[in-house]
Amino acid sequence: MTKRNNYFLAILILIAAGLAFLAPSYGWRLRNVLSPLATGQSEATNLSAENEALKAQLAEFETIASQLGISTTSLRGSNPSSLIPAMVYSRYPMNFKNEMLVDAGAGQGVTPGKGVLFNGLLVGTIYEVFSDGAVAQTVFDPGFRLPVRIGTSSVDALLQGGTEPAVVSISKDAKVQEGDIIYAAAPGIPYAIPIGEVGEVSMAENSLFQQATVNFAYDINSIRAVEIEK
Amino acid sequence: MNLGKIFLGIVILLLALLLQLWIPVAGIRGDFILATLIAFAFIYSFWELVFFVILSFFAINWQPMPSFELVVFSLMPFAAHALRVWLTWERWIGIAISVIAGIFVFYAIVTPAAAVRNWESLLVDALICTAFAEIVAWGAE
Repeated sequence: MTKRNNYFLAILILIAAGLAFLAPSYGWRLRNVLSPLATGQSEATNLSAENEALKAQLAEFETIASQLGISTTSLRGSNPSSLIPAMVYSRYPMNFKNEMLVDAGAGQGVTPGKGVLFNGLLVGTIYEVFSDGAVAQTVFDPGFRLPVRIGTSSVDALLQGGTEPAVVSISKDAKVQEGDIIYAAAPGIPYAIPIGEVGEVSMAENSLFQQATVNFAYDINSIRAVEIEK
Repeated sequence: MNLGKIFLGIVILLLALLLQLWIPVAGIRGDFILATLIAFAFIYSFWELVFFVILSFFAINWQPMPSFELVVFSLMPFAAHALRVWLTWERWIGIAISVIAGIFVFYAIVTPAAAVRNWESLLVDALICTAFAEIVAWGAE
């Protein structure tokens, strides 16, 4: 290697180091430009999410109406709570599906245990908060557990996270079928936030309960922006 | 230093970044950049490798300050570079061993619990990245 080449390589290293340590935001922008979802989620994904949100709203209204003995038409509008918008970091190499890092933290009002929403669907809950960021445990984490209800008849169940999340502990007499909406029914999270739809229903090994797979309207790896419950 | 070879390395890194962003491997983002850097450890000189590692650091860093994960990530290619003197009999075997070991060691250090839970995804990731690293090594030659 000649002396001139050595100088040139040293300059290249200095430029790369300058970019990496003094202007890291350019790297983030580069990834954003090259990222497959720079143009946003597909129309089909958005429509599926909207459809699930409407189903969950209908299930909520029908439950209230049946309990109070009133018509669903007298119930109008949802009760949207304050939401904090946040970008999802591409947290390579922590790229397993079970957690996501967002750019909103305590400074923006994020607190542990709050729901994380994508297109109105619950994708996880906050479990660690920093001053300007937070980590959410997603429904794909094997440790994720959440009481849920299914369909317009509000069947109680438990959402069990994992690579392939499932709803378990469904009463064996309950009528649950493919396509029924699954929505949150846990303290600390606004009631009836949709999560997904029932997939294949089967009896649990102990034959005491039913269980079902869950169909999601999104690809968790493609999510770039979320909203966090205040 | 061969300018053409450096330029080719930059193009290959860009390709690896695109693959990493676009192609999920067994449900996770593949480690194409790490595999590329490990392959580069067998092809480029130490200081050329320093340049490519810093460039990769710039491209995948997600926060203002270096994270523990990225520091470990940056050390893996240098470990491969140091070990290549013991893996000289057949370079393709050396690259395969380094990439597979590199990916498993890397995840075992930065996220051991998730690595154990997702070992099947990691295995698929390691095999695909090994194939990619072999192509990179062949192409960069």
